[in-house]
Amino acid sequence: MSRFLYYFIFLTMVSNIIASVPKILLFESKTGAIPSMIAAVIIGTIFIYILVKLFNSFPGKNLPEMLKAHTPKWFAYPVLFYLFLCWFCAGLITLITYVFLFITFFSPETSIVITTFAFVLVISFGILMKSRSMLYMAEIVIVLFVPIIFFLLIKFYANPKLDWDFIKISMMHINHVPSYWAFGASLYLFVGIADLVIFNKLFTKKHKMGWKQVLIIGLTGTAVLFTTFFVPIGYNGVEQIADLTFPWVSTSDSIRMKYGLIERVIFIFILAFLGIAFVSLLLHWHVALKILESIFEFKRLKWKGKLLAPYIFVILFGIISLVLTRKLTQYQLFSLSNYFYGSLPIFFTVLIISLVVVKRRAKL
Amino acid sequence: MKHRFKNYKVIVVAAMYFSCVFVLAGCGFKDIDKRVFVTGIGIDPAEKEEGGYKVTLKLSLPVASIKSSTGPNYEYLVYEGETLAEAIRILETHTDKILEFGHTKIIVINEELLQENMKDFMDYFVRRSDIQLIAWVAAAKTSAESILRVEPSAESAVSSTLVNFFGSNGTESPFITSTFLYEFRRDMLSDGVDAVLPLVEATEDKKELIVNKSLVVKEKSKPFELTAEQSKYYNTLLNGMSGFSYKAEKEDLTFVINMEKTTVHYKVIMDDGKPTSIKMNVKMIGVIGQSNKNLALNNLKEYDKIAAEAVKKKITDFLTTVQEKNLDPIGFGLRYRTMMLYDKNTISEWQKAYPDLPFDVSVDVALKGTGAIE
Repeated sequence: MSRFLYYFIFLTMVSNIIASVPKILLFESKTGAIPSMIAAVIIGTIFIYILVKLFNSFPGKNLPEMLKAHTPKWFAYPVLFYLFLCWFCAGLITLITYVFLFITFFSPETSIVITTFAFVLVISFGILMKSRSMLYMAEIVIVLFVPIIFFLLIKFYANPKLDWDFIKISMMHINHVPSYWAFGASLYLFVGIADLVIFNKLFTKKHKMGWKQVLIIGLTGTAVLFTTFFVPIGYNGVEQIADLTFPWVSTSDSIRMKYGLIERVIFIFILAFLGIAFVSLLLHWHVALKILESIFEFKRLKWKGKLLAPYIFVILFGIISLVLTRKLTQYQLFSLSNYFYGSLPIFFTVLIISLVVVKRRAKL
Repeated sequence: MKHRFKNYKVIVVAAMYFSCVFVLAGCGFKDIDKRVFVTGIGIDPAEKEEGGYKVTLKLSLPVASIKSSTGPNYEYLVYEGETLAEAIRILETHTDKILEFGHTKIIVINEELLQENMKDFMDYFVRRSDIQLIAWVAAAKTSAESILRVEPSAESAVSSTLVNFFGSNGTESPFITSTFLYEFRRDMLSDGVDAVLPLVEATEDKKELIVNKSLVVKEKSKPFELTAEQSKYYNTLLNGMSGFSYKAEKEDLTFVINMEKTTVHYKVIMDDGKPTSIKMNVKMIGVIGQSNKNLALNNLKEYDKIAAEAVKKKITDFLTTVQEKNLDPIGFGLRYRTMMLYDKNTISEWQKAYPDLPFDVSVDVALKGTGAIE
């Protein structure tokens, strides 16, 4: 498997901590989060396996091209539009959650519009880059931030104040029926591979997908999900864990670096995850933009030989996120993410079905 | 023509970048001379109105340089209000600067407040995202205000004595309990463990601070004061603090042992789905610190036994004292809850069983030597 595929998968896995996944999982911590997490790891890994195998049949092509070439218009366009919506929402949720978190913990005095605007400005330049540059950028960010994240992980786990009794108590809630919403939220960790929809164009070789790769993905997924769910419980207890609005940020504030340059780990945490969240956001919106471009090709809108459509779309993205960050309350954001994560099983099904359809038609 | 066009483009891009500078200036950022740092918060019950709080804020005044300052400079703001938030809002009008809570390192609470409605005021600290969850929480004897107002003569210009007591920042002693804000919240709200706070006292002349006792805090009951000796056992058992010293006696031999390392394991013994006893294994490694007689190195094994016997008695004493008060600072209840699948009756069953559970403590002391002399 190309190393870039691992980047897609791992970036989304790690960035879940900044999105609303921990909040939803911990909200359900007493009503079946654990069985749903176990189910999500198994099913998510299977989804990744299937998707990589399916994309292997079409080296060097992206999904919009495939759909347009082999399926009727009434099928191709709605599917593409649905996929666009999903990717756009994935990015939007990360963005809004991050802005809220930034406002709450980092600079409560800055107006929300300016913060969002600063984010949107940088992201707009990012998503207009070439797909290949996106891959390299992902690599650079991973190289820069993974050591910091490992350092933070060691800090979280090596701290004697992490009370394993609480973690064990929460594990005793295993005897519940899996909850659908928690399942959806945990499935988000495995959604990264779907970036192939656009990026498959850059991979002309087939990906090797054996038991070794499946094992790596499955184990990493388990480890990340375990950390996401249990570390906040170990620091904040079982009973009142659902009260925290940003469980992970509060948890990172519980760590102290006695001899560190900065005593409060929270600042390092927020900055490290700023990088991760940005790249995952860029990847999602880049895919969303490319899909949107394939649906609406305004070929006449040209200026000096350049298509204007992408720029218009990016401005639209920016306006939507600016309006939504101002309008949404925290509860609305929570339910929006809840519904989005809940729709992920449908998303995977649609993606797999359309790929299977394309594969059959192409061979006929 | 083309060349000129490129120049024009560069200017546009540069202009865009510079216009961004103006956006940055609008971030609402206030300079450091417009801010004042709150280093400590004290809460007392209000004197005038029933159920209110008296809030004391300890403000650190900035100094130009450490060399030029003679000692620490503090200012205190005191106000009474019905809730913490209201009182602090009013205190914002008592100073010309913004109150900055990001550097609050200590929260001192009057011990009288630690009985009921603790959630009420703890809520404020956790909800306010700029107060660190790694701030220390301490209980104050007589009043939180008087504790905050103590300025010991040994205090240096840029450090705060009260903060250095905790977390082995400065002094390291098993008598001092250190509790983070998040830890206090976690233990207070969880079933099966009770929160323990250090108790800060001031000397009579209000010149020095003393921290060697602790309070076991439980909602809806009077806080139980652990003596210095009991606090030492609590910290050794729960946090494995080093520096534990113990006097052992047998016949006419008396010696003091300094423990360097303590490891503790405990579990709840179950029989037939019901807790029957609590088993605790303590392992200690140490050296002899003082003795009234000459000690022979080849007799170390014997001294081990004498010491183990004595420590065991003390630990059992400590555990039964808190048990009698129906308090559980170690968290045996938590351990019990980890032993079975979740059931909503587990907690009430435990609470019923805990006061009568016998303790089975076994202590293993390994003395490494007799110090510099035999």
